[in-house]
Amino acid sequence: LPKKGRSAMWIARPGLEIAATPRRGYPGGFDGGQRSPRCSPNAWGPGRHRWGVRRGLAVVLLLVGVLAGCGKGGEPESVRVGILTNSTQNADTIASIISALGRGGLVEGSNLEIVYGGPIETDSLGTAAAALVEGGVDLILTVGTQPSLTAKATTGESGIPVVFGMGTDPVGVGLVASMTAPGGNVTGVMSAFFPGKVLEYLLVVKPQTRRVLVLSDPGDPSSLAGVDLIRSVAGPLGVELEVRDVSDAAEIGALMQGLPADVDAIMITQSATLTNNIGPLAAGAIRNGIPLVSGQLLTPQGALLSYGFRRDKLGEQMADLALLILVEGTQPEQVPVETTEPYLTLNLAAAEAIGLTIPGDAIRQAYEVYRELPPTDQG
Amino acid sequence: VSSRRPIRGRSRARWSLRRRLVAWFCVVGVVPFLSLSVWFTFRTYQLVQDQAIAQQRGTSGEVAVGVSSRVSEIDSILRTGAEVISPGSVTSQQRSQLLSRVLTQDQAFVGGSFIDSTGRETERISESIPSALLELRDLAGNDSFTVPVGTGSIHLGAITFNRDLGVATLEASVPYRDALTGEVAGVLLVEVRAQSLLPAPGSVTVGAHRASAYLLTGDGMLIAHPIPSLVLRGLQFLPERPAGFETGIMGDRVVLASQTVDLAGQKLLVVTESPVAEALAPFYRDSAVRLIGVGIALIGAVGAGALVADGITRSLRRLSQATSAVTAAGVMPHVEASGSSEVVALGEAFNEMGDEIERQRKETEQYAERLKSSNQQLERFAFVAAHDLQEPLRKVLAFGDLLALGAQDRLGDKERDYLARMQGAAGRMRDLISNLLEYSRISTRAQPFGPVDLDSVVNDVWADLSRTVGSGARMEADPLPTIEADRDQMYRLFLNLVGNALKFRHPDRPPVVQITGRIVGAPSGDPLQAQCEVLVSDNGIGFEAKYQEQIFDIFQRLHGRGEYEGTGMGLAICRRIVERHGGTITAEGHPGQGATITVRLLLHPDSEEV
Repeated sequence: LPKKGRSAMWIARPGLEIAATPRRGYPGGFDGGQRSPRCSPNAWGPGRHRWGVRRGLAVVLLLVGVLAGCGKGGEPESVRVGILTNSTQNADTIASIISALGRGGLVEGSNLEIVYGGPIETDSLGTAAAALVEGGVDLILTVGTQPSLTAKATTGESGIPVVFGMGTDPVGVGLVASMTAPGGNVTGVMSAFFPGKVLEYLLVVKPQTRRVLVLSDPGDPSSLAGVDLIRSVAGPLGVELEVRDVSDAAEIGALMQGLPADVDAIMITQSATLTNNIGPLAAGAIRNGIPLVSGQLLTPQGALLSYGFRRDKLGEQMADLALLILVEGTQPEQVPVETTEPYLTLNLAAAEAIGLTIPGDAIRQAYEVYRELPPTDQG
Repeated sequence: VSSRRPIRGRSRARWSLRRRLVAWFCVVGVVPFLSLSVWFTFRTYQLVQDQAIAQQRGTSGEVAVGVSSRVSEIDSILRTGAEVISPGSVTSQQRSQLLSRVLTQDQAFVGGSFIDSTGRETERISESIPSALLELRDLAGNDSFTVPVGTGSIHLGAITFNRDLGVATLEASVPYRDALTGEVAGVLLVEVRAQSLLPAPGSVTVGAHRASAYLLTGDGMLIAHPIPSLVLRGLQFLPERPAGFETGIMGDRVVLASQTVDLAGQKLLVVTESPVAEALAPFYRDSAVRLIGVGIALIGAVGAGALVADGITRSLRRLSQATSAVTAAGVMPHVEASGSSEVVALGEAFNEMGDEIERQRKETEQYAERLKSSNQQLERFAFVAAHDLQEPLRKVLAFGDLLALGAQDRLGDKERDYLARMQGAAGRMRDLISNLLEYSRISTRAQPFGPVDLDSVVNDVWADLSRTVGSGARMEADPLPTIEADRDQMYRLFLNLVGNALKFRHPDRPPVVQITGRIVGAPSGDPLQAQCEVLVSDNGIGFEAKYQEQIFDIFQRLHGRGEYEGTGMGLAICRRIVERHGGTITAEGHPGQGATITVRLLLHPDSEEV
């Protein structure tokens, strides 16, 4: 790649004031960077006034460059990018990734080959990741916690960069060493989960909520981390939790058929299993007359309220990081983990279906409001 | 010199006149054009660079204006929110709703709070944390409270890093007043994404090409960039950059310009940069066109030079061909000179020179023919004379012998002395004639050259001579090579040389003849010129140095007939044999210390030549 190996002529700033927020985050804050070995404060110094000679040299070099075929430089070389996910709800993310890569100069069909055969069953992620490595891809994009962990384990020796998009706690699940200095060949975008805000907005749209059923996927570390986060904020908000583990569609179906009578709402954590079954979950919640809320955009699929990341925005951020690595040549270990921006979205049709009136303030605060429910198997 | 041998000493090959003329045409025709082109290229580069920098400055200015406008927009939103607040008439819940509405006015707001007149937060909302979990702060001594209260206008305060959202934020605060008294009743504070102050990524352009903009604090900290991870990395460089072609934030060469904006208490630096390659695109295009022009001019100059050079050198080539014809066929053709007067004069002079050379060549041929004929007649005469002289001489000797035998008693002492002298003179004459005959036979009865083992020759010579010399004489011979030669003449050569060494022995010591040999390469390295050098040394009486040339002359003797017998033809015959083989022979000696004869013979002589 034409620009690989370069580093910015910038220096880290130590000692910047960090906002004192109580939870996870960036332990190093702005301290995370190190002085670049190529940093040269004199680059702006008196030497630049000797531009006469430099211009002359530049003219000669440019003439040589023109002779060598100017106009061809600057175009990123062809790259192969693999995509690995186990969620069926990531079509928007993947479309957004490809679109953003195109805007950055990597156009599919021209100088970009996307290796993606659709969502992979969780059990087959290892095989699929190994196939990508053997196929000689230049970078792997992963969506979801398990695909990200699998890609990291598979690419360890090859050093193929991995850009992930996953939830909750990439440090806690062992994906990166820290948010500002990921280390290794893995970096990405954390789809931030703000359960406190989800519950806060739930209390706005349904103030009488006292008991929330939290659905957890025991096979997904992000889901388990999400449960811990929910537990940490529920008490101060006066909400009781009932956590249920569900591992597959059958368990989800069975649960939705026999929901506990005393739960006022259902909250789902970040898990491919749960998002893959959002249809039955949303339909079950409506059938039981209770809100379904989430920390990611699931309102188009029938959830009443979502406060969290949008998949298209997640894809754009992942693509930007991929471009940083593929085109600019930045090493993954030098690319801090980014965080998605949260968006409040509501589904008024879902509210109407469960007999809930959404306050006007909440609707005004919403980034997007959906007024239809998706078709279900039951019609 | 044989025509088959390379001719040395000629001048080295140089550029032809034709090539020089073409080269000069190129130099004269292209260099000025090339110089102008380089100058124009340089000027174009300067102009494009200056234009790019000016455009970049303009873009930075536009972005800075946009940032100021954005702050004004935020100020307007906050003031509108502040106007509807009347702390004395609304409940806390209503204030929270008002605050929520304010925060929903702009996606850039990630949190906010109301601060009462004592500087304590009364309500607080965050985008990432529920309000119930947020601590209400006392900001009485904080600039975000004191400055807007004191000035009555918006204040941009602390820049912080929001860990939950992974963004840098600025605090923006405006005062709100009591609706009844008009006095400052508190402050509305919001946290603004620093990124939101910049135009949307992709919307910043310089001319027709893309550019990127980012924000630095007054002390150089990066707080907003289209690539958020750069902000997360906590990068910094020194502010107040001059505009120019510099190293950008990504380490690339970029056109960079900056603009300082003073925003309600915050001095920020707006920096824009665009890729050098795009900024210099017009220069590349012009340079490509110019290079094509130079290429066409060069081709034209080469073509024109070739045409002119061809016209000038055509007659010279004819001369050259004519000269080659002389060398190849020995004929001197006339050339037809045309073109400029100088070339015609050269052609006429060449023809005159050719006529003169042809005339002299014919004369030389006639002379050589006469000389050859004369030489042949002379050799024949010498051979015939020598041969024919022998017959009467043999009769004189025979009848002299009969006379000496038959009339010995009848002759007196005086007559017998006369007869003996006559017989001695006749004998010497027989030897002289015999040697002379042998001398002439070197060329008249020469044999073709073939491989001759000089070791074998020397052994044969010694075997023949050793029967006639007394005991004590010895020969020490090194191994000698095999050469191309006439074996009979080689035998004769060494017979004479070794015979002389034995004949001119020192009276006080037995004769010792040493024969050494070695191969001597030619200085030119030509293997055909390699020689065999043979030294024949003896410990005999030697000779004075002044005779070292004279001893090779015919009938030349250094000693009286009474001292050493012989005719004085031996070394003359040796020289003739050696010369026939393309070699040389020299002698060196010192009286009483012996002599050394050095013979150099070609290993592979040209029989035709010699």
